[in-house]
Amino acid sequence: MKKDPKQLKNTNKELLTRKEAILKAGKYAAFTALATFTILNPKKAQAQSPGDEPGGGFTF
Amino acid sequence: MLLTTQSFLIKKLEHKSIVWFKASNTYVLVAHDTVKILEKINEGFSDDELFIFCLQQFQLSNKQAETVINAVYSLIKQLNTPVTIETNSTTESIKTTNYDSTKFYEIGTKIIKVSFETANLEFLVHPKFAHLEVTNVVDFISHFKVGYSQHKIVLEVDTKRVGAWEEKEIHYFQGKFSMVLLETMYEIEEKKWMAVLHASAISNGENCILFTGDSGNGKSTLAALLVANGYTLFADDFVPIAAATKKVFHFPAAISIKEKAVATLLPYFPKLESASVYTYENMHKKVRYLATQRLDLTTKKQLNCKAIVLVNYKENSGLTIKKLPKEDAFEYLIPDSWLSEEVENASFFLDWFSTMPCYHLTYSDTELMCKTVEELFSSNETRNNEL
Repeated sequence: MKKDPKQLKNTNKELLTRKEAILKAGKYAAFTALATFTILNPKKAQAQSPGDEPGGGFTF
Repeated sequence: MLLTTQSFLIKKLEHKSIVWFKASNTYVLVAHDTVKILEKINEGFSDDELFIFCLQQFQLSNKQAETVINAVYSLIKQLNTPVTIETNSTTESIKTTNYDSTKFYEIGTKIIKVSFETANLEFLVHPKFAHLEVTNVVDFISHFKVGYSQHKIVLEVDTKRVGAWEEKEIHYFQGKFSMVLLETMYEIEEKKWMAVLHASAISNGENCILFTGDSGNGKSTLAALLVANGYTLFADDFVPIAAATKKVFHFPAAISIKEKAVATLLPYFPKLESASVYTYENMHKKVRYLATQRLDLTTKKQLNCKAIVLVNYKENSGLTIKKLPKEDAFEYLIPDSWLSEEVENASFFLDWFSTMPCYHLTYSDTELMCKTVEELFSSNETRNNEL
């Protein structure tokens, strides 16, 4: 479908140049990186590999 | 003040920084710039000062600066708060005096006596150490007792009660048993160990390399294959590192071999054919234990670690090895390992880890794998022998 030239013109006004887009994405990435954390909890006590205990009728 | 210099440690890696919080003994991977915010909070910056700092330093919008500051405060609040650890002690001692079995194990140069109240309790411990059993013992250094009290498994060493564990905590009981064994073996108390890593340590007699990876990725099989090719098993599953020397210590537990790996290893270890098979119903797996040669602990009981290698067995892959970002290796290593909560030990650990070369090894070809390990041991890229 052919686009209305007026509409196309309006849309173009909202588009960013490649340089602007990279700059904006870069700033957003810097912002998200600042607030992104990977929390790692070591074992609070020494442990053997989970599951390395005999099954089959272990009772207390 | 939210933070004090004693409440956290920072170590810069290549792409990210590690922050360790003492109160919760938690490690966090953060952007290098996030550390700058933490440092300003530590310096006592007010909220307004921090806000302006973020705007200027990182060119954030007002809303973004607010979001970042809130996230950092929330992180501090969460991790800089002491964690309440459920006590695993019981007030009662083991009730029985009638033990089902008693074993003597030669651990290094020492003999220990272990009494088990029931056969089930013996099965929790004995298979990994069966190769160390000795008979006709006249003297021993310590008496471990494993029994029940108040529906819990209790471990006592001589006259001291070490702890008590519920059924769901069996792997912690086994871990503590190994820890006390380690303390007895080397006469080094728990607070002087900086870590017990979930890995396999293989030695060439001079240094060791740590192999890590998810369960089922072929870590133990690789360790056994390397032993078959002339290397020494230094520690499997339980890799202790002393704070004083930052060296890996030998731990003499046997390797657990999953049933699917038995066919691969039988040509090298024919004794696996007749080894006892243990069924682990909760993991839907069967394993056999493979004991390797005893080490002379008078000389080489502790070794420098040259590298950490993340292992992945993949059918028909041949072999690929590439550098692994330290941040990625850290993510693999930490959740399954025990790390000391002592500030000094945490600091030692961060120093030790930050200089450790890390690799990712994917393999299916044993010959190529052994050649690659040989190159890692001799490479200048891996860590220098001298610390």
